[in-house]
Amino acid sequence: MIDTEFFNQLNRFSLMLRKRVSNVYAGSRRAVLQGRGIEIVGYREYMPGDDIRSIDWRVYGRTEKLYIRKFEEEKSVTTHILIDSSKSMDYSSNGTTKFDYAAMLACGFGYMVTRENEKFAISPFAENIDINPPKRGKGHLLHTIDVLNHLGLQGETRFDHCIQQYEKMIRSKSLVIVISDFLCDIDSIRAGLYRLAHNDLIVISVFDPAEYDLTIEGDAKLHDMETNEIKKTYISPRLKQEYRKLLDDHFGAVKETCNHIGADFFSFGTNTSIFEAFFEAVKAK
Amino acid sequence: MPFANPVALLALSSIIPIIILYLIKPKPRDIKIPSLMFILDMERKEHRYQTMLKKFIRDPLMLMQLLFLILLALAMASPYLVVTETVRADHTVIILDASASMQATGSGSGASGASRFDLATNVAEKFAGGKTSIILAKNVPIVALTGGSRSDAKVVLQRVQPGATAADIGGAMLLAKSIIEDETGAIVVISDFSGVDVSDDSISTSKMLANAAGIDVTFKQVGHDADNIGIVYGRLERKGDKYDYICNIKSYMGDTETVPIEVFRNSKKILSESKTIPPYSTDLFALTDLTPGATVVVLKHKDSLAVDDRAYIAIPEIAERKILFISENKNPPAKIALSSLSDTECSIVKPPVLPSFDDYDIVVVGNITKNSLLPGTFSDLATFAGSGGGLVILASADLGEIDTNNLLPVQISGKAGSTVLNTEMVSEFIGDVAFEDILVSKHLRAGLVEGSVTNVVAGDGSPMLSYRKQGAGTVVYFGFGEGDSSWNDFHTRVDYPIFWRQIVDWLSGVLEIDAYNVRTGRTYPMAGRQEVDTPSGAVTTDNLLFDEVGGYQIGDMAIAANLYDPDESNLSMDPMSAEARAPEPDTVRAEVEKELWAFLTVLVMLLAGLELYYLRARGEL
Repeated sequence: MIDTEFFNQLNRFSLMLRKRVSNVYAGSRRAVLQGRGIEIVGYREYMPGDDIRSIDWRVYGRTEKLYIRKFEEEKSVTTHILIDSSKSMDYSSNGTTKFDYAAMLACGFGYMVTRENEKFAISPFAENIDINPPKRGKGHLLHTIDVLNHLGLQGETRFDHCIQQYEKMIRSKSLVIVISDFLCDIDSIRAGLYRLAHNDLIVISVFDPAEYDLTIEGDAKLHDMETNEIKKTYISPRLKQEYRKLLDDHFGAVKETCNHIGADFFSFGTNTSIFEAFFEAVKAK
Repeated sequence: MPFANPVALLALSSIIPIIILYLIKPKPRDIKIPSLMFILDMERKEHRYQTMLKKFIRDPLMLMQLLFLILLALAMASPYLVVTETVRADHTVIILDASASMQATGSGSGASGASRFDLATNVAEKFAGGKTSIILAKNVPIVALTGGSRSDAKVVLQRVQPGATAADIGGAMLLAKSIIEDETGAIVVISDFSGVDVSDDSISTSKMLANAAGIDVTFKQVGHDADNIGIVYGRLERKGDKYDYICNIKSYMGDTETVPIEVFRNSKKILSESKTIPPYSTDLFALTDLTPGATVVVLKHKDSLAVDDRAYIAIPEIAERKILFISENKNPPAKIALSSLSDTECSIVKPPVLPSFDDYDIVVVGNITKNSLLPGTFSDLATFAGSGGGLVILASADLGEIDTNNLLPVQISGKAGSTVLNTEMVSEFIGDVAFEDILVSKHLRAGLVEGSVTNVVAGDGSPMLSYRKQGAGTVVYFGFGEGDSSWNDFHTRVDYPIFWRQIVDWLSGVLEIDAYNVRTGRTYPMAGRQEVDTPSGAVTTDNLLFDEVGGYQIGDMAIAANLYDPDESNLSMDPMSAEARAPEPDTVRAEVEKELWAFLTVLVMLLAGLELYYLRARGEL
């Protein structure tokens, strides 16, 4: 279950989102800068090199001169939160599953965006992505929390496939937050992250502390939560050592990809308090 | 798979506790850690083959422990495999037939005219390799190389020559077996096998003994049938002062052949004649009145074997022997017999006044009485005998009462009546004399003295003919007296003078004529190392082997050696199998017991190491 008690603690934070519009940075207040948008602020004579689509043919009909429309620059930004809902996120060694933790982070971001009266969408993904359109308002946030609370976790993670599907609905440069345990093929993760690189991207890896510090040893029957495959093995000290190294290598590769595309990467264990996690994430912003 | 120690297989039961231990161990824990599964899957993709192996081997440690115990038990049981493989000997002994027939040459010129022995050495070179020994099979096997290398063997094979003797192949094989001892060995016999049957007792027994010792024996036959006419037998017979020689000339050819014969006397041709010999027949050739010296009979007929085309005859020069006969009688039969001998001068003297013995080679003491001789005479006779003289003391009525200064080889105790005689030991001087036929009416009863040898003994055990060494000379006791019919009738018999000639020759160091005319293959032991002139040059030896045909000179003594062997002269051959005729070494494939315990022990040790490595790899060590 998603605990929303922490929303109050988030009031002190403000997600100072860097609203990027066309090609320059914009603040949260209205700007007089002109650019692409919906509302027309005036006209000027056509100069070679201007976009032909901007020519107002009605004015041409009246004046027989070419004028182009000038729009008010778009100032708002949409936040897209993608949350991993594969079966591996259902793991918990301390009561809070990785999905619960990830959902709290997602909702926390949603809450903060709602406070700014911006649009946001939380879309769970596993083998396919459940695309939700961005909306504003607390009603939308509550509805989303309810949906996440009742979401059934299943399947493997097809990261690149899901990102490819979702990418089509990101119309303009947005804030994209990806929350996952990233237990899937590193090539698929790289490809997916590169697809989102032109957005303001925050990548959050969620793990259970038991995954990092294996306490078990000896003969073990391993169950794959996503595929239900069973595997017998002997967990030796050497295997634990190798496992830890490979795990570090894997997440190191994810982080390296993020650094390469200019995304922010965070890794939180489910034993880390949500407040601390937000503090770290927002501090970095 | 057979086991040398099958009881040790009981140790296999030790795997039961291991299996039980693994069966009762706790079930594996069910774990659902997504990241662990993910990482293991990722690793599985990277090490696909390793993972497949792991799928088959669920518990490698158990498998290793089981394998360890099973292999240990198997190693203790000493398993072995019987496999057929090419056998290569560690030690090869090559036996080269060096008999006279191996001197036979081919009919052509060049390589086709090579001797059988040359062919044999060529074949032998192909067998030389690794550790090689070479034995020359003559009538006495001779070791030419022991445990040499291939190059050593080649050097020896270029140096060795065939002899003019028969070959004792069986004996050579036994010698080869003793050289190989406990090694993995092979014996290769290279011969013409002419007149030899490999299934005969000597060879087949030796082969069986070698085979029983795990030694492989290969026979290789060299050479082809060849024509030959040779002297296969020869004999000298004494006729008074001279000798008659008779020999057999045998043809092994399919056509009637005329054989020119030449006789050389002291290197000078004295006779030329020819014999016409029908196919596969023998003809006689005789020479009469041969006098002392060297005579050679030569067959001037071209054939494949030269060694039997010559017969060497040696008749010794005998210096005149001076004999002193001491007797109270004037002309006893013994003296008459001695006087009739050639190369002797016998003088009789009546005691007590005697000439100096130093002027005589032999002294015969005949019929004497107690007072016949002066005191000290026997002491002088002892000195004479001790310095190399021959002394014969004849029985006489008073001999038992005369002090002979212990010269007699018998101890006389009295007189006895008639008796029968037995030849107890045959010596050179007895020859063909039939002592058993002599009628004895009276004789001296006597006993033997230490160090004496008795040749003829009476029915009551009294020695009738005895001798013993006295210093460098010899003292003979002759119990028949000097020829008195009241004692015995020996002096009336035809072999009486023969006996005296023989004993005079023996005492004066003159040997039988056969001792001067020997067949090759005989050995002649000498007192010490001495230089001997042989047909191929001078050698210094203490035991001379007559392995060449021709004249030998040992000091003053000339000896002739001849082959006289129809088997060696017969160059016809029974071709053996194609394998035996092939000049290449056979590839010997044999069933060999391969012991596997060492291999298994190494596996056990490797497995123990692997187990330790595995535990270390798992981080448990």
